[in-house]
Amino acid sequence: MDSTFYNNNLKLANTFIPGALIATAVVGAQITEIQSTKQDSVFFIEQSSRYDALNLDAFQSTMTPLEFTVFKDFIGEDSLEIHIDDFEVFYPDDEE
Amino acid sequence: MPIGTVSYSEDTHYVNSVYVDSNLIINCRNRKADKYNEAVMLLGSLICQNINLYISNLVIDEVWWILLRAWYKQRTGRELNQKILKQNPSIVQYYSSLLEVVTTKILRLPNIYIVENIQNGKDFIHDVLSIFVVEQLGPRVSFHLGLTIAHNIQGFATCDEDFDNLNLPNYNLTVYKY
Repeated sequence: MDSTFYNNNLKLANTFIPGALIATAVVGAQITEIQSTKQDSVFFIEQSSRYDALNLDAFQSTMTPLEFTVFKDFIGEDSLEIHIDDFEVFYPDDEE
Repeated sequence: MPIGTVSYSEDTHYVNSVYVDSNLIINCRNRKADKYNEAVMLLGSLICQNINLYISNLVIDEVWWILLRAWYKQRTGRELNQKILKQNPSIVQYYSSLLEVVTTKILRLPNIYIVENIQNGKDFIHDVLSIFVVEQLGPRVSFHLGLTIAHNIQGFATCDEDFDNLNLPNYNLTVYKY
């Protein structure tokens, strides 16, 4: 039996399947565009030059319109600034 | 040679299943990254060829940490580490909406799957330990690779140099570097 938790405050309710902590999920069936809120925008950098310089014509002609919309939504428009030194992943016992 | 390394080219024909490293996800979301263009082209090509894309909870864990660190630094000017987060776990609340947006965007990419639970966890741990020792990778990287092998995923998309010198004598893997 599936059950959900933390669905009052988080829109992304987790699904817990007994016996499988990591569940297989097909998540591509319903793809829609997701827009960030105005509240989020302070964290997103308005810097369109590199995005605008991309040549996405081949992708647009190959992907379905919905796939292309989701792809564009993922790679640009509201992307954020991350510095290279933020890429280091912490291990649980990391202490500075 | 069991390991093949393929640098990004628009003519590349990909194997039908590819494990997506967290750096590909982050670089596609970061227009200031040196690898932004290459990461976008690689991801777009994978989608165009209807390749099954696999991620694990390790990938999501890494993405969340990288995002949290970037946002925290952007908001406070300070570095976020495990100690700070343990002392003040409510920090996450500032970024819950952002985490939701980005996570949802990842999970809605076409043909993306979360790898399944490992049926025999003890054997899996021993396999990862072998990778860790023989390939001389870090433990976390070894788990990424172990999951890839355990699920018979044939490709691995990354810019991580750790994968440049793999041997894996008993497994055919194509590493797509960008």
